[in-house]
This record gives sequence, structure tokens and C-alpha cells, in this order.
Amino acid sequence: MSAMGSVATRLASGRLWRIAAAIVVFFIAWELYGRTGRALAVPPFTEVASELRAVLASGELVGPTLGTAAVALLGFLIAGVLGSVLGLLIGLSSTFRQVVGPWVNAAYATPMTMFIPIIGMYFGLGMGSQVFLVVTFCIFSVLMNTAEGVQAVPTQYFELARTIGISKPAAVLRIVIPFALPYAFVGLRISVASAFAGAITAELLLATDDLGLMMMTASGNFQFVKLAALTFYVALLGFVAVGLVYALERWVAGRLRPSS
Amino acid sequence: MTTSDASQVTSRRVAPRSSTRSRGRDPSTMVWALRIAVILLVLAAWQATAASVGADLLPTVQSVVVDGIPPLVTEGYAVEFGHTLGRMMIGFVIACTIALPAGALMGASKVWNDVLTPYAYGIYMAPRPALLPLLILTFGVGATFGFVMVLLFAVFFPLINTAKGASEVVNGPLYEMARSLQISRIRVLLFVLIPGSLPYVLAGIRLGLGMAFNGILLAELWTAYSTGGLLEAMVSYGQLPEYFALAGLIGLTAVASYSLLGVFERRVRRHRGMAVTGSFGEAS
Repeated sequence: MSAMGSVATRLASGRLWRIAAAIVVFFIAWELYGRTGRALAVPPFTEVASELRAVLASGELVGPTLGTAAVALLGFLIAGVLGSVLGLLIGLSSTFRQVVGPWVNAAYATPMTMFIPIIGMYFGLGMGSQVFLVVTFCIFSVLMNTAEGVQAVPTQYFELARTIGISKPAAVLRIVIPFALPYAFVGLRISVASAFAGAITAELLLATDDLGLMMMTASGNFQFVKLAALTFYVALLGFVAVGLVYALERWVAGRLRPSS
Repeated sequence: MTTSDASQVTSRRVAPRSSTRSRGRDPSTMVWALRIAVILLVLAAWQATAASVGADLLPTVQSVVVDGIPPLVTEGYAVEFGHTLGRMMIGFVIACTIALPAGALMGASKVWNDVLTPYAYGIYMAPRPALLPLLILTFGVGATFGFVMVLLFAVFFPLINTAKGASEVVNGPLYEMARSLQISRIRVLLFVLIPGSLPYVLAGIRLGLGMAFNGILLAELWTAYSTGGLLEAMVSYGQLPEYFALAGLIGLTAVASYSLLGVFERRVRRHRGMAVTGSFGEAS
């Protein structure tokens, strides 16, 4: 079903209306709570939206946005490549999986945030430490999902490959990777949200820079409306990033789907 | 998180285990030997690096054991971490108290699923650390700030997994049968819905607890409070053996709780005859 068809079906079933209503209710509740003036850090939504418009129009967000996006993207790409390769190895070799798997699980369960102080010491207070933190935030989702995808390849596929005389590397390239790709993409989709979270964490707690620096400055100057606008903007960036990976995933899935 | 942990996020199903390649048998002696070799290799690499870069940058393994571990008790670092854990657990219980009923509602009703989905995914997709400056201004430095951070970090996985579990039960044959036999709602809830969705709920709790650790530590690092404050101070004052010992304690606690919940979850899955989606590398 096409994307337009899907939207039309959801509209007809009332699904889209309910989702839209839930979002509208959130903004109305935000506006009403903001107008009570109970929390200085929660200004009314209309004020936040108009502040965001002003900040966007001034152009002061362009540089910091590119800086934060660069950190998130670089960390995301490194984590994507490393995670996919390790996930492939873990998924393919049962010995490797059994030896390395428990350590990967342990690393996944370990709260990476506790390393923030030491990352700054080892990698310096610059882009290196920021990117490293993003990699630690992202890598496990890609790795575990890729491994899960490789392990989910039905045994019959391998038997068939052996029967028709396809070599092992060719089987990996032509069977395993296409099969595991949707799983890896799921990991990437989950990771992209983590990448932005990691970049913002790094810019707030490690090396204050870009959007993190703007937020810290607004907070330090008690510019509550600007702070709320920046927070809202960062949240929007997160949604856009996840949306982009989702679109890429659908595009790749469309290309891989066998034509009928 | 893997595809089998929160299928709603991933929207994919893992093929039945029987038709896929062998996931894992009981690890052989060889595997155990290799696992131990990996630990020894890591320790040897640590030791060699520490010897080459010096104790100011990386303490030796002996130094962490001899100089770092005793202060956990004598200086009260372990007790402080216990306080952090307590605050984390309060925040996590609040998160579960919200997530489990809301998730059950989402799974059982399409209308509620549509209404709550934007909030669930909004929390997940928005970079939550960006809320730190706003939340500190709203809640101040203290326990409440920590609770809110844990809530924001931990609520998603229990919510979405419970929704998935409840949805599977509601769309399953047992629920259909219970309805056609006109069994009371309470009995359906107690004997069909809760047991049926339990494995998913447990997976959500396991993943959520991992996020809770990150949430509380981030809150405490931001405010230089309690364990987070200790970690920062230790690095700032060059007390690296103490830092690594405390980080080790935190890591061990997180890994132990994650693994124990994983074992419990796999038992429940086995008991219910479901595919065991245990972590790779573990016998399943």
C-alpha cells in the first residue's frame, strides 16, 4: 500500500484524527499550564513558538545546529559501521557469539553515563570526546539488532546455498546481509535518537558547545522562554532525525524487495 | 534493545527459533576457557597500558583493587551509591506505576493506543538529556529532580512492551475464548491478560531498569550530587583507583540486575512455551 493510501486508510478509520487530537491536547495543556505561571521554566507554548521563530529567523541556530548534528552524525556513522560488522560476526559465528556475547551484554547493561567524567579526561574537552560518547550511546542497538537479524536467517537458506554451490562469502553477501538489513535498520532507527541524546549530553556535560552551549547560556541568563524554545527545537531535531532514518529504511526496503 | 524485546518499536517479528540457526547450547569447556582468556587479555592490556601511560592517567589493576576498593566501605562510597540506588528505585517504581496500566490500556484498546502513542514515542525520540536545564529550574537540585529524570528515561520500555504483550493477548485465541464463555473481566484480567503479557512486561522492566541507571547518574552528574558528584570529584582530584572501583560497583550492580531479570524472564517464557529470546551468548 502506498504512503498516501496508508494515510487515507488511517484517516478513514479515525486513527489519524485521534493521534492528531492527542498532540493538540498536549499543546493546549502546555499553553494552559504555562499561563498559570506556576513554573517559570514552562512558559506558554505560544510564547515558546514565537521565541523559536525569532531565534530561527535571526540565524543564530544554524552554526550550533550543524555542530551538534555533525557530532551526532559522526558518532552515529562510526557506531553504525562498527556495530554492523561486530553484529555480523557475532551472528555468523556461534563460537564468537558464545565467547564475546556475554561481554557485549554486560557492556550494554552498563550505564555509559558514569564514564562521562573519565571520557573528558582521556579524549579532551572537544569533538573527540563528544563523538566517543555518542558512539557508546549508539553502538549496542545496531550491534544487537544486526546479530539478531543474522541469527534469524532460516537454515533452509543456507542449505539451499550449499546445494546450488554458492560460496560462504557469497552467501553472506547475497543472503545474510539482505536478510539482516531490515534488523540492522531497526537498530539504526533506535540509534539515531540515542545519537542526538548523546550529542546533547556531551555538549551539556562534557565539552560545552553548540546547542548545548546555547541552552546553558539561556539557562544561566534566566532566559526561560529561550531555553524552552531551544529544548523544543532539540526535540524536533530528534523527531526529524528518526524520520529521516525511517524514510531511508523504507527506501532501502523498497529497493531490496524482489519485483513481481 | 533487540528486535525481540520491543516488537512495537521495531515492527518486525523474529522468525520462529526452530527454523533459524542454532542460537546457543550450553557453553562448552572450550567456550568457558575462551571467555576467561578474554578477561585475562583485557586485564593484561589494561596493565600494559597503565604501565606505559602512568598512574596519573590509568591506575594499575592492583592499584584499583588495593587503593580503590577499601574506600568503598571506609569512605562510605558504597553507602552513597546505595542512596542513589534507592532514589533510582523510587523513580523506577513511579515509572512502572504509570507505564504498566497505560501500556495495558494501549494494548487492550485501539483508541487508547492511538491517543497514547504520540506521548510514548515523543518521550523516546526527543533527546531527554536536553531537558536537564529546564528540569533543574523546575524541580531544583535534589531527590525530585532525580525521580523525574529516572521517570523520563525509564518509562518508555515498560510502557511499549506492556502494550505489545497486552495486544498479543487481546488478539489471541485464549482471550477470544474467555470472552465467548462470558468469563468475568476480573478473571480475564487475572488469569488471561496478566499471565499472557508477563514475559513482555518483564522485558520492558529489564530494559527500563537499564535506562533508569543512566537517568539517575546523568541527573547526579549534572548536579554534582551523591554518586554522580563523587565520580566527578574523583576524576577531578586524580583519585582514579577510587573512581574505577566505584564505577565497577555501579557496573556490576547494573549488569547483575539486568541479568537476573533476564534469567527470570526466560524462565517465564519457557514456562509459557514461548520462544526464548535470551541475549546472545547465553544458553537458552
